[in-house]
Amino acid sequence: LKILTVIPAFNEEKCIYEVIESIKALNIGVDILVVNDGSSDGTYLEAVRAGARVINLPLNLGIGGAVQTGYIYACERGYDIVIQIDGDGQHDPADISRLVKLIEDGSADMVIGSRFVEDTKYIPGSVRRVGISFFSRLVSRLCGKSYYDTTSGYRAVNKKVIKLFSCYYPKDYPEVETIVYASNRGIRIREIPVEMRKRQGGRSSITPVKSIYYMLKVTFALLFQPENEVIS
Amino acid sequence: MVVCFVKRRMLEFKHGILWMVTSIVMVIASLNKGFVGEAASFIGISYPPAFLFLIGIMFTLFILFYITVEISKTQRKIIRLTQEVGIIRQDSEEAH
Repeated sequence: LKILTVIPAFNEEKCIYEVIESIKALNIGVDILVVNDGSSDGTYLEAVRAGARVINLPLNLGIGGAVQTGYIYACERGYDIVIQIDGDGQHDPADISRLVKLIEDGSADMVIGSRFVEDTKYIPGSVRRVGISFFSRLVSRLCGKSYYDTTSGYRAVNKKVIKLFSCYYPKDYPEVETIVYASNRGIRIREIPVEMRKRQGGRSSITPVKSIYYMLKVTFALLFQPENEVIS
Repeated sequence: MVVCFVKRRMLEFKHGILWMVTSIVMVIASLNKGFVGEAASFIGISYPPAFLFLIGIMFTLFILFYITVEISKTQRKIIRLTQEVGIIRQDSEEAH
């Protein structure tokens, strides 16, 4: 099976090297692709130094556009599995094999590495917690199945989902919407617990002012899902 | 003026026609005192010029909405192109 790890990165020069190194250290034969989303710092050089393939986007597209680039790349190159992992070091690459295993044995089309399925050490701030539980409930209701960590960007998906996401992927704040979008199209999604570390550098892309816009946008996107395939 | 912009291809015909229709309708309506008066009283507007404003605003809103839809479409295309450029650049680097 051809497996590709996609790491979207925007100004992650402090962590990207280490993230790539620790994936390589696992020695499980996955290709590593960094999608450099128009960073203004040394992300590109650090990623190259660590020995990853790098796609340099000439413009900053935002997380959705960057991640989708990885899916399009995987689709064109015929990869069977894509692992999506953040470039800021908050996901532990050691969990990759557990994510992939569920895809490999066919028990799920998409696996989400979740902070909340079981007790993990991650404790979010209060505002964050409200948002997270709100989306968790909304998504669970819409999909008719419980989802806990809907905002996690730590995922593994199979070929079917790679194709789906390379055709349509939300532009910004995509994590929550993709669960509902995929679930509506018969994708089997599983969540497994993973350890999340505090980000090792860089800042969260979501500031307090933006979080209201975030809530509105994502809620709207969830309630008004496209009925047919969206081709972009 | 709209014709001039379309002629120089600085404005797409698709968008220019909207403005042309708007201005023609507005001019004809403004010159037809009787028609405006009747139409205004028909939908219960006591001050006929207000009917003109209504038409003008409706057209403007329609054009604005249409433009925002076009911008969204253009944005999607730009994203797709940017992704393609990134992938192609990676391909060519790898080939070297």
